[in-house]
Amino acid sequence: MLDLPAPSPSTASTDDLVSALANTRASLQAWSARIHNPQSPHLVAIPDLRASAEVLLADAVLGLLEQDEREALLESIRAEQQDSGEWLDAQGQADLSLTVLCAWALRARGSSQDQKAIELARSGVLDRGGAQRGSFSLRLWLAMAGAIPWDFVPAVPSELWLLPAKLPISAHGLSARAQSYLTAFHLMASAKTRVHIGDISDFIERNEESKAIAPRLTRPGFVGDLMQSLDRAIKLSRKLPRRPIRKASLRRAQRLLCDQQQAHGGWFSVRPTLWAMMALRAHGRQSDDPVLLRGVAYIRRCRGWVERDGKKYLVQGHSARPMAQEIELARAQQDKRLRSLILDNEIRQSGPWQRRAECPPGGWPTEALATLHFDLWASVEALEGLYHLHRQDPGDLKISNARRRAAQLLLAMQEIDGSFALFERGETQVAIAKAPWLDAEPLRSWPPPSSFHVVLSARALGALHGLGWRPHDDRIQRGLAYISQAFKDNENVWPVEHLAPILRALSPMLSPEDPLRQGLERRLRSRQREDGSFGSLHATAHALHALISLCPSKDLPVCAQSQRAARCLIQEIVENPQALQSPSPPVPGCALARWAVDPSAPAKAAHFALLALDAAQS
Amino acid sequence: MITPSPAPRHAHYDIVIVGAGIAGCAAARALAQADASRGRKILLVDLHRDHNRQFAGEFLHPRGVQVLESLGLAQDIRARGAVEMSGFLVHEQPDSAEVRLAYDQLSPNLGPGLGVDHLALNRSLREQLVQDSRIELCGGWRATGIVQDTQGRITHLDVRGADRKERRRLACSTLIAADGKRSTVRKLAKIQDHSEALGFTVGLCFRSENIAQPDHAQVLLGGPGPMLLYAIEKVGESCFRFRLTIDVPRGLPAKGPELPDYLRLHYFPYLPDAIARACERSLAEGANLDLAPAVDLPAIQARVPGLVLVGDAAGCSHPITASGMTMALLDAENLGRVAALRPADATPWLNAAALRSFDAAHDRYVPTRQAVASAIAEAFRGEHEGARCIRRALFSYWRAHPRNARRSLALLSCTEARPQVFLSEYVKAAKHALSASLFPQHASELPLADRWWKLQGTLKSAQEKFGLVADVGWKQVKPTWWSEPGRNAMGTR
Repeated sequence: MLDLPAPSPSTASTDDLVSALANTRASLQAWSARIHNPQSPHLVAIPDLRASAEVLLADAVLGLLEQDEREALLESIRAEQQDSGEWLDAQGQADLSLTVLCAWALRARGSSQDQKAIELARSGVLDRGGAQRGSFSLRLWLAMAGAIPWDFVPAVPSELWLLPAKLPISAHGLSARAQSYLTAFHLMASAKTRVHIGDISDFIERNEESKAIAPRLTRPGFVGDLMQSLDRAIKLSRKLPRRPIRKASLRRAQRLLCDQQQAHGGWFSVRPTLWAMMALRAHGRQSDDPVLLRGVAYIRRCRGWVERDGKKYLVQGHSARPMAQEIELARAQQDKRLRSLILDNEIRQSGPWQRRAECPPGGWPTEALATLHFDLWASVEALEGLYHLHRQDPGDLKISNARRRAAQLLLAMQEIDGSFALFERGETQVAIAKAPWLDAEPLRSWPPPSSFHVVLSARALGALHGLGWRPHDDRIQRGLAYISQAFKDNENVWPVEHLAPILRALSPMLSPEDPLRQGLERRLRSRQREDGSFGSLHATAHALHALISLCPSKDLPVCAQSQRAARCLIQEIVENPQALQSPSPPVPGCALARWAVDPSAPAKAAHFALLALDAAQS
Repeated sequence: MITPSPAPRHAHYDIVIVGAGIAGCAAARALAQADASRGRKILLVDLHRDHNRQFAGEFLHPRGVQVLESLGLAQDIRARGAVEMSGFLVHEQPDSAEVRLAYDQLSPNLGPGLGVDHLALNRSLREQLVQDSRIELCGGWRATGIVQDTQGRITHLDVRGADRKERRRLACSTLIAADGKRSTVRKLAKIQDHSEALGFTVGLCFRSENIAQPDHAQVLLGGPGPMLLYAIEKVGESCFRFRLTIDVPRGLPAKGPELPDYLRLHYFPYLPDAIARACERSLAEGANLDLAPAVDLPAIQARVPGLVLVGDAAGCSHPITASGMTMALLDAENLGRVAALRPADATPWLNAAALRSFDAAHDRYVPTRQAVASAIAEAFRGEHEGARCIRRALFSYWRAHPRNARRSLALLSCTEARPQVFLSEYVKAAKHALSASLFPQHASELPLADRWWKLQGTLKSAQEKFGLVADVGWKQVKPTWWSEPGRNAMGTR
């Protein structure tokens, strides 16, 4: 392993470091100003256009948009269409469902100028088997619009809402996020909701008799066939006289849905909010109902501007202002508001997340006022922020008490396998999601296996270590064993942006001889390129920060590879500050927005890495 | 002021005690009291010429105070600002309601415990013993060797003065090792021990007027390690000097100037606000942190003729139960009892039968206390699932009925050593631990896999403890004449 101190001439000069830090600081200030702009706030986490398209479609029913907002959203959809006619998801992959939704939004709310774009999209969709092959949520929209029969979406038995909460198959036993989706879906499907939002039937692949070809709801195979039959059986059973059960189930589902509305007006995030509002509307709530009005206000707050190729576009985000990103930004800027931002938003009440978490309230939610749902990512960021604040003012009891409460929660969010749950215990072990059902996605937080899950677990372990938990504690050991196994299974596929934070989080608690640390270190070091970079600016920043954290002593110079990475990073930032605006890889978004991009991520990562370098060199 | 003798005055002593800490001083005084003829020569030698300034025990349970009073040593200690302690407050979390374990629940006549600064205690004991003409106290002498006769009986102790020039060989009928957990005499006698380093105890001293119930020691849990707070001196009408002891891990993650910050960041969040403020103020004012190793030393079963181990030299456990000094005093009382039974002119004074009688009594209370202390320390440290379940179980058990708290405190404070009480406590705690594993405290729908995991941890802990409980039970009921088959005089098999 090459870990020799570099000769002094190769060390990045102090002047360059100072000017690079000035650039990153300026970039962060610019991002902060954009995000906190009251007139046109920018989005902190940019999802794909799925939510924008759905908001445009739901606008016809719920009255979500003003004319100028509608136009702005349509403009962003138009701008994102590819030459092939398709729209790409946040990972840059062509997405059938997204393409249908965007084309449909253009047709329903756009103008005649969009006809060509819609035609282009339509031919692409038909080439790929028609709109009915899209995701579960797309088929729900299609069914509501009457473009496909309701049989094309899976059946959910009404009895699930009547079963006692303790039964594993009860709807009450699902995670709070999955519950809000499924309950809204159950209400909409039971009412066979119809909305008039423009004809999309020409996007449906039909057979020779002009009938829509039914999509497969399960993966092929014996179990899949069985589940398909079960779906049919449930649908057939609806013809039986079971009105009282259905009525009771719908009553229970409506009550459950209303209980899940949060203090900020929304449900779990924007898309569950949209679905919940549609479901409540379908069951007789008027558009001036306070529940719906609060939902509309929440969705409006979640919209924001994004910059692409020098132009500004309005996009529907999936949450108002994610705590995790906002805390990280405030921490990077050493913003005085960091303390109040963290302490004011701490969860102090019991909530649905606590059903499987054995601890008193604490921690932080995904966004402000979303107190029904704990978010581990936001909590880890908050803990990191509090750690630094606590070091500055050890006598601040509010900080130390918040850290203590969060520690309990972190420990309680650990799964049996040693990993940590993001929102709720058991979310990665959804039994129904393991069956060969194609529409299980809403029940999961992210598609396994996910290296982000390992990053999250490593950071949670790092936070626990920062809170004083001993490396030989069985919970820390279990977490390390989980990461070790995940590393063995996937070491070749982890990107630098994930490998480096894992190494950085674990290095303080692992000795230099530890095989996991050595493996992670070897893998990270081997990714360095000839020019000293690790790929993108974002990856280089993360790798540099991790390599500095490996330095055995503050008195020793950082290793040669760190010096090379630092030189490369500083040079890039000094010579081209615009590089800090370069796109970063997407991270899993909450709820159904699977991925989201944080535009300020490269600037934050570079700033933290340079600060660490500055501290190491001084 | 009377000062200790510069060097031993005689070549032969009936009793030589190595270590002038609380165990050695109390043993010397107990033996002096037991000497009806007033003709026995008792020598107390200690490595330190003046006082041992090392951070050590400062808490006495009522049973220990009773022994001190019977030895006539308590009054001066009280006069030096010692604080009478009424019991313990145990906090599962800083913001949860505490459990009170009060001495007055045990017996109205038991009296209070004492919290006293170790240096003041040590100084008081030494000064009182110097004034006692029956005891010769020599400071600044190190034990360097022992001489055994052909039977293996210890006949002489070699000592060396602090200036490294003067050496003496002292003949003694009985040698008493009271030189603490790292006993030199034990090593010289080649007695094997199975000590295990548990970590370190960091001590922080501070003054405060704002801490509620200063007459109770407070056990503070929930953090990375348990903490114990008690008053050690009354310095004003309502102002006390407190000692906070903090259990830190073996690897000692921070040392020197980094230690205060480490404690601030990792342990102080688990202190109630008033205590945290006082500790923070004390650190800000530059208070020193004392550090002492925490060792688990199972009761030593050595039977070396002519040698008696007392106090920590005979076995010690995690300091969280604060019972080390009380055990040392019970040893002294026990030693005085067997010495008093001997005829006035008997030679040697403490013969093999007397020492066997001492050992038999010692084996009745020490293993029980050690087992309880180790189990409680393990539960309070909570480093594995079983330990955490037992910790929760202890709280639910104590909260279930005041009688339960009373019985646990009786065991902890060495006022109860009956095997049936110990066994019934074990069974009841195990029952509560099983229920704590199966029925969560906060989660309404804790997954079955989690419950099973906790249950497995509890069963594993209970299984591990079962052997210990059986061993303790046997030691308590075994007849005095019983010697373990296969064990030789050196305590090895």
